[in-house]
Amino acid sequence: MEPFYFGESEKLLFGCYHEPEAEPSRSVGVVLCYPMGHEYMQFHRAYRQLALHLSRAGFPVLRFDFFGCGDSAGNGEEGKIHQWLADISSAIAETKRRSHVLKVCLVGLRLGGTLSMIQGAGREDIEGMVLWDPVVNGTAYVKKLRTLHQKMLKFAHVKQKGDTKGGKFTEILGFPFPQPLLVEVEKLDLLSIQTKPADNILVIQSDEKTDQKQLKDNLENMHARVNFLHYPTPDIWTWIEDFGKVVVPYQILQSVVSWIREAYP
Amino acid sequence: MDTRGLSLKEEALLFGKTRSLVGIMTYPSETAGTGNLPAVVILNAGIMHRVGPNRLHVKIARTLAAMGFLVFRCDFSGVGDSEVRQDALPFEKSALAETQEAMDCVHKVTGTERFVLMGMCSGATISFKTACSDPRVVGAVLMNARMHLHGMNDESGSYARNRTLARHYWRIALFSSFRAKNWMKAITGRLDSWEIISKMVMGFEIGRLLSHKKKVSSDVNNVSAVLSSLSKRGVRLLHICSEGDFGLDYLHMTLGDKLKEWRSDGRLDIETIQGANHTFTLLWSQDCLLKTIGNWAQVLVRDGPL
Repeated sequence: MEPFYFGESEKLLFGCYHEPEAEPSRSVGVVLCYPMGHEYMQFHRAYRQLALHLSRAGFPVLRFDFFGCGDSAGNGEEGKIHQWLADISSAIAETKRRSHVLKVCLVGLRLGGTLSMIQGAGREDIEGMVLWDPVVNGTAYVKKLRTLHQKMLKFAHVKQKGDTKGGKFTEILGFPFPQPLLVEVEKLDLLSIQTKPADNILVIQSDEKTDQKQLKDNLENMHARVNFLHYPTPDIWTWIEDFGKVVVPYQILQSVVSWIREAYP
Repeated sequence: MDTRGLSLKEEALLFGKTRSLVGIMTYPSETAGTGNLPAVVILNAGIMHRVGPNRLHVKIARTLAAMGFLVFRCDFSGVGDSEVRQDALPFEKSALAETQEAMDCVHKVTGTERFVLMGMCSGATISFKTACSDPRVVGAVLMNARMHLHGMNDESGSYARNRTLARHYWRIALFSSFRAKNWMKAITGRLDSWEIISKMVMGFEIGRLLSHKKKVSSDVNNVSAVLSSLSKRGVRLLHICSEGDFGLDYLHMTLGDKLKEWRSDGRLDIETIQGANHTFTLLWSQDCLLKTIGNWAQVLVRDGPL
């Protein structure tokens, strides 16, 4: 595994490239797109495990932090949808450059899944896509984040003080969401996308309260080959202060690896 | 300090004997114009990767780099992106060895021989233990350190922990700025009240209190000797405690009357952030933490280590 920075010099992104560890290496590279905010923190470990399993199965894998997130350049207040879409493009280019593959499979979790699908709909080199609890409706997602934040305020040993820098951003579970970004996120609607984002798609639903089936139907109407997996795993998206209690959902990770192996033998 | 607009160079490195540990070097801002400052090494907070809770370690690193410090944030083996060790070395030993390997790595890159260690929770404990054993450490910032002055495995350690928790629950229930919230949680059944009450009572059990009195006073003497030795070496220690964390209670329980004395003679520097929780979740508390660390570091810039 090689940690490195890539992309534009003023907006460098942090990535970890996992060389394929099995011979022969596969002809498709995998790019892992993280979720945002507290979900990024809680699923870093799971994504690392996923990358290790995929590289052992012979896939070149790149996982990377979006601009303003994780180890990448930028502050949280600078997050923008178009920037993050450009970041996925950079990550795809970097994966191709390092592994010499021509096609890639995107694995996107939550908002990372949403961005993956939007990106896939705009280009033709995305061979496969795993949409793991993608944010289908931005308004519902923002509403849920706000609810989680209010719950945290109620139960955690924290005291709320003042507003957040003159109302320039909304604070959600310790991360700043600038107002223009919130507006952009609220407008996200995966059901409005009419272009097939990839030929092979795996949709995973772990959250009981969201219904990904309509997304699956939409994708099928676009003539994509869609597999749908439902793994009810309550509460994996809630905020947890004690990181020792964060869950790595191995059943889902194994399913993702099996699906990608079978799709790209 | 707002680091937006500053062009800070960051580099990802593999380090350690087997080059299997991952760290991010943030180089000092060229405009800071300060020389000969110690390098800062930030250690993992528990099992959270080197970005830190709510990306706090990134913010701390960039704030300090803007002031002229070179900062290295790294992952212990098996945490974040670092590989798991192949030997059976227990964490208490491997973490100390890997902290020293992180310092070796920074030394190789920059030639720096003086270090400030920083960590939250278990990262604070490792920072403190390394400061005690490695003469290259000239300062340590211990955020919500718990049990770091004790050996966790001995009897007095578990006794101190029980007493600390008892004090913590009493303080949160009666004096903290979130006491109303906690009472509401207890009344509405959203708190395991019986467990907390049992800890509150057990922690002050009279028999245990008497039987351990001698042990506790010898603990204070041991701690006193350790802190004095660090002070003689010129090591600057900053404890930062959140109101909602039991690190503050731990210092009070362990040091008792000595706490005031040592704070006034400079052996202990303690800052408390009222209204903050263990991981500084809310943005205002993150800003407050950054300011506290920035002010402390400013003294190093101005005066240099003792």
